[in-house]
Amino acid sequence: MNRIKKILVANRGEIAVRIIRTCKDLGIKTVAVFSETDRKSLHVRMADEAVSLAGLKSSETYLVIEKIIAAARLTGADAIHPGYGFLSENALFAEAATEAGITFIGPSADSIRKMGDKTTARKLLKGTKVPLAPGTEDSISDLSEAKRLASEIGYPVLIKASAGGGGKGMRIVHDPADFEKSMVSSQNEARNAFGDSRVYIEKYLENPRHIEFQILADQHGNTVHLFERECSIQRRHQKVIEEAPSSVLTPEMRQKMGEAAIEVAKISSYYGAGTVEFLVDKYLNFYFLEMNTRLQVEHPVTELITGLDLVREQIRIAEGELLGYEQKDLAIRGHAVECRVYAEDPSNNFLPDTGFVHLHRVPTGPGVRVDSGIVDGMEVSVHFDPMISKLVTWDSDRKGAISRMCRALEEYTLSGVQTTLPFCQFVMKHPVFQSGNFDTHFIQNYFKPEHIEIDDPELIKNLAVAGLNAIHWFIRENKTENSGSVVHDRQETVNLWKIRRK
Amino acid sequence: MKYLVKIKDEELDLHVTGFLETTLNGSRQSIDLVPLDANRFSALIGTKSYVFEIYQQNGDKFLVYKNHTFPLIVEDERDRLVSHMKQVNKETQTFADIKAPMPGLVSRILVTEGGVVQKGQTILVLEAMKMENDVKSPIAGVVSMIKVTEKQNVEKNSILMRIG
Repeated sequence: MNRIKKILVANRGEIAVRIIRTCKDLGIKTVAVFSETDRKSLHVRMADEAVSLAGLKSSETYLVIEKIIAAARLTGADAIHPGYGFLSENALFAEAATEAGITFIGPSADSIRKMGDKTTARKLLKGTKVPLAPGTEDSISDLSEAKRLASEIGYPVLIKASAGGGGKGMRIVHDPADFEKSMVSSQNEARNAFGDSRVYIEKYLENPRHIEFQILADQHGNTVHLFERECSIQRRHQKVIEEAPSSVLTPEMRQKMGEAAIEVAKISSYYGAGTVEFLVDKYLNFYFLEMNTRLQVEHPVTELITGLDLVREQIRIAEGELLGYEQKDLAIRGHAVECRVYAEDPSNNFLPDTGFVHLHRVPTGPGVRVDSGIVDGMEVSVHFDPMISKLVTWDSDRKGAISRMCRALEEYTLSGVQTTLPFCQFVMKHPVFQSGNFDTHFIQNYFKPEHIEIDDPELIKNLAVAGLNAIHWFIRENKTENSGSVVHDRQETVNLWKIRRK
Repeated sequence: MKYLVKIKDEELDLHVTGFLETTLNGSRQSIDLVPLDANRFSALIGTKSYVFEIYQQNGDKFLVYKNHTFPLIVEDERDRLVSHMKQVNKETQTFADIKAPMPGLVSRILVTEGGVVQKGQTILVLEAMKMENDVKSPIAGVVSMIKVTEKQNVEKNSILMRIG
């Protein structure tokens, strides 16, 4: 057994913090790495050691294999946890770590290659009992050839990054006239996000649900699934709300899909934690979408319904331990819901917002978990993903978990940037979401910006009275025009309350 | 001091007679207000309890209550006159300055000076947070000026081009 003593966390934000927490639980020392703008970040504060990656953008920092391996060598880390995003699905990174004698906490480079590349995965699964959606076998770069294949598959089609994940580089095309523009922006986005502009084309299923299975496999051939996560509430093909279990799966379907997920893992000799994603149509047929060879953003909902710490399991597996349990030992306990808090304006087409977070107060109480990497005064910049935190609630049933989420969302205070919080409040209270019968088009079918507005005349009147009095309070506090004020402007950190006084 | 407060679709005549003494549409409102942290306040109006935040951005004021953001327009007599004049100007306005909705990199400019654009047409692609965001024209018109070039970094609210 190869006991890990010190882990370098090759990531930032909430996931770096979340991994460091489990390391502390296990008595493992931690090393953080950081870009110039992340010097004050929570993961740097929490880790035992921290190494600067000297640079601003992710392409100069968190994506540079040599810098991260050098940081591991410098600090004597014997393992690297890649988190999600960045280098987490980069086979070269896994190889570089192994060559440097450092344990990569994740699958083998070979499994990453097989599954991380969507076109290779599709080839590998052809002929197995895992159902595939129609699409191109290879990635494609020639525009006219791509256009020809798209009409062969039949519109609408989906253009996806071969190296991708997380919805980056993905475009739906309904009209052949839009194909060229969509393909170019998909390639650009893929190049920026993954350093790899290859894309492939797949038939786009109408009104699908996105349901994925969590896989755990040790290095001795034992593979289990930890049930499903329902991730159909998405904008720009990126998940905003997830839950476990799904409200549409029967025990029979769960078993069938779970077995298919295990087959996907076994065919790529997978070990570690991984996720097999499926699309489920309205007749409950399911199709393999892709396998993510890393920890998922939404892993906490699985942790809450199984009682397992997935990061701890990843570390144990990397150390060469046996899983120690079989499929029959696992059961779903209760229901969990996750809301992702993004710095985005839901009333303006979910456009990313930037600025300083003046105040961040997270909810607590029964059944509430918050995974966040942000602290008061921190800047949400253009350089990185706009996700601020994940709010997760648990209860013995779905209704209870949703009620707790409504309570927690109201309690959540974040000042400084627009967030997806009011959108999540809208979803939790929507009868279609509550019914459990929805698909990936939920937002376009049911959400309009005006829906997140409050319509309560008494409340509005009282807020107007309170607001005016608050403004008067500011005026009283600032006797002279040029005295500094406690009022924060969202453009500058501190600004004067510029109201004319008489 | 007499104010017109506009919040959502409501317009309220408020008369502040002293600190924490307010008359709303003629009837006296009892309010207990204490500042909390940052820009947050706790207000008790009657027995009802509210926690809210007030902030301003580019000169506009906003009130945030349970993650809902309300634009708050507070006008005294002089402001009312000014805003009336602005309204008149706005009605005769035939051009639109396209501002960057967020800081980012201009990845593509899809129109040329002198070109005709439709309302809602994508005129520029702005890359921010690793995503490509379409910037659309709010009006139909002719591109009279382009102030940026491709691959240029822009700040939030900087003017990208003018239509009309």
